[in-house]
Amino acid sequence: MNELVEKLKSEIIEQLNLADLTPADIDAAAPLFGAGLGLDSIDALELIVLMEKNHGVKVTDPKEAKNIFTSINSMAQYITDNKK
Amino acid sequence: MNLTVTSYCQINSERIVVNGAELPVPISDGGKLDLKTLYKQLNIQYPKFYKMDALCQLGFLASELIIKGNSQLKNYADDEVAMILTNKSSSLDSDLKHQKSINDLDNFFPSPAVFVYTLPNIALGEIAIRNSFKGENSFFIFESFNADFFATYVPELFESGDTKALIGGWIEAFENNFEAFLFSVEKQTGVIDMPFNAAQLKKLYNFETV
Repeated sequence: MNELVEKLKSEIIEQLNLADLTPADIDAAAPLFGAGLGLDSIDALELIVLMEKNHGVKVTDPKEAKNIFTSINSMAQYITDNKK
Repeated sequence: MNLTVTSYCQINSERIVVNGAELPVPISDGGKLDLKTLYKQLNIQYPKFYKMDALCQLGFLASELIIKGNSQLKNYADDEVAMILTNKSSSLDSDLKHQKSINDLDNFFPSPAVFVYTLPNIALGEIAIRNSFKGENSFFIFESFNADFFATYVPELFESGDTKALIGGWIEAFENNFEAFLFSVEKQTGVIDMPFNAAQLKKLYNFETV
């Protein structure tokens, strides 16, 4: 799980062009939206694509998205639980 | 109506000029203008820059240079500053990136962050958001910089609505080749004071001494 969390940090920095950040700067438990990384709605769509493209996990129920993308930890948990 | 060119800047891989003063040109390993290094060089704090496509980054940087170099542009009300930008390649750079991501049905992962930049007028939006400009704005496509178009269109804008200042020009970005020429137009004098007309714009665009 820790390995996955670190991988997700690097993928998010690359995919979302967070050029000023390194994985060490990101708190895996911090909110992705609002205060934490301050991501926006386009970033949210990118995260959905990233989950499917890099981890083969689809987010099919929009109601689930809020919980899945709470933090990097919650993303990692969802991938672990749903990876085939 | 007497209009004045009150500031201008030019950016390409050989020269960066703001109101006649030269700035160092950051060049990448490939010998092209390096927009990200230019951003750092200008000491701007705006993380969204990194999310923009190359066309928007170029327009953003040129607008920052214009506005930094002519602070009276900040004195106008939000809806009094108009923007008219032009180029040749529209948003083709991002269009092709998007197309590449959807060509293969077995590897079909279009990027929302690329897709949002598949319109050239998004560059206007980025500058407007940064500066809270809410005036008239349009993006036109021409084969090359069209001074005659600006000489005709800009006075009409000033005469027909709320426009009291305008940022206009050319931002071309395709396959890491960049060229920007932006200028501000006002009814009053500014950092520089040149009559606004097609001949003057052509001179400035061609780096001719004025």
